[in-house]
Amino acid sequence: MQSNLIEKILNLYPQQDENMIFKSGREGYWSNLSKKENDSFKNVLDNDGPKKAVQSVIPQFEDMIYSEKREAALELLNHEELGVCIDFGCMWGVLSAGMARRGHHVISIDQTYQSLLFLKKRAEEDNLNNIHIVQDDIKKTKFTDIADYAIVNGVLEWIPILEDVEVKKFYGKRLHSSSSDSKTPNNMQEKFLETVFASLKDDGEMMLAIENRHSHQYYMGRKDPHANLLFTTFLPRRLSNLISKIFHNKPYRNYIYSFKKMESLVMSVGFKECETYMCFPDYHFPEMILKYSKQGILEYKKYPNENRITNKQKISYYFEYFIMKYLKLKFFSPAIVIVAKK
Amino acid sequence: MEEVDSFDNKKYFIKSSSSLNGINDIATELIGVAWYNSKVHHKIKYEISVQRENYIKVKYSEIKGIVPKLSKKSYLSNIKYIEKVIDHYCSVWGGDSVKPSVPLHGDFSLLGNIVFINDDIPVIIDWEHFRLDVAPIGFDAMYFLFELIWFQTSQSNTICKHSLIHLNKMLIKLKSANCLNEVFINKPLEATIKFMLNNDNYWGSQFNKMPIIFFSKNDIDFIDNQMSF
Repeated sequence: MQSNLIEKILNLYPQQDENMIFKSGREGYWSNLSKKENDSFKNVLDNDGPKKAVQSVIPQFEDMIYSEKREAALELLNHEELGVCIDFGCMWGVLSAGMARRGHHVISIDQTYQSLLFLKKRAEEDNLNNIHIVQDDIKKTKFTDIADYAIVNGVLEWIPILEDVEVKKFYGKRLHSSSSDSKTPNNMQEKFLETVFASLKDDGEMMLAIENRHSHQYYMGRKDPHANLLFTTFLPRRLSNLISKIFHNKPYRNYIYSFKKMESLVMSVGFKECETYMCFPDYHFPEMILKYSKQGILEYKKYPNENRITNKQKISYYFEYFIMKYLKLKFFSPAIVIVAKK
Repeated sequence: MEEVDSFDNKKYFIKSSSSLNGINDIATELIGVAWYNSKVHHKIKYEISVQRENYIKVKYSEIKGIVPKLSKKSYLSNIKYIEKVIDHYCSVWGGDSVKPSVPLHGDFSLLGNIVFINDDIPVIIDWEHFRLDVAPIGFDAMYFLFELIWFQTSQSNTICKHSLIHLNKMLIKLKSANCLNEVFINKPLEATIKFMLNNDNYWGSQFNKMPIIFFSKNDIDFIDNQMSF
């Protein structure tokens, strides 16, 4: 299976560099680290290996990279048969590694070389020889009928952003914007989902995770996690756009959706079935994943969360507990996970 | 795929892991469940749906029943269940009473780890701390009783003498069923905590979450002085 798969990848990406990373020639940058931080991280990575490099240089991301909790949503997929998985926008490869440990062959695609290099080293350290790494713009990949699984985790909302993203800087105010694509964010996201759909075999499954536009947290004063502005997630897009232009001098493009709209966007590209789940307190570190249904919300219960530190976070949790447990307002749950079948 | 009895596929919960520690915990639990199933009529039903080098997924059939809840009177409000559990302990572990060490459940707690079928028959679940033949007989039962005392004491800020009188009766019951090692005879709570402190590796990172190790020295002495059996 492995040699066959590598042959298929080579058909699309004939070039492989000295790190065995398949290259498309297209490069970009999206990272929680600045380019400078990534350079320092790389030096330690080369000398000490991935685990130690994370612990010594970016300890604040250790859980994000290594916590098994991050993989919880993968359990919604059926792992009884081994298959091929494409992790679109894999970044450091948390879910790629999760799928590889479950035995699947994984094609991990990202535009950011530094992140892929980390994943390469991590796969070596963990003896995961079933991860195949591709540097490409995920919007432009041309895989067809190759995958049994596709992972789109925290990626869809970034599809309309064309410029390089250093997350910390992206949140800040900027005077000049380079996002000048004429297509609407919605169209770009739909087109990307078509690319994902095309990569799947018949009956293949896509797992998509994204914030809920109407999460109660945003109504309680939490800032938009992508635009770093108040209320822009749920306000009408035009108004959010205006607010973003006033405060950050850039258009509002990180579209996230309600449950219904997200389902409808997924189904519009051709998926035949769609199971929707709500995720608490978020999809990055889920403590509880429940079916988005009347029956599902009945199973909502208290859950631990070590990150609930400030009074604001505690009040937000108690508010959530009240509206979910007693009012059953699932529409306001924090995050969406969709498993769609081709 | 391994089938254990008639696995009820209608309602189940899943334990899975892709980390080394997690896989070990699940494998340990399966050994514990197999040992427990060999001793009881109401067996825990499960199937290993995926087992690979770096991944395991086990489906456990739901056990329908009552799981007692924590209240301010954790001990006194659960006397009915406590007596059933002590009888169950004697029936499961009693056959091993002649051995110097017996199997350890390791988290023998009324609050979440014991389900009562028809509000009557206890089934012990969550066997991930299981170890074969490492504990003096009676340890899990002692842990079970003292944990309830701890919850009650920590919530009401006072040690309830009525609870201790009942606890003493339970110890007598264990002793008469040959299910209480002599190390627990003089100072049962102190001996229980001492066993845990000497073997903290059995609990790993969970050790600091085991309530009874937080009893104060004064409380330990007070409780042990109330015991006479």
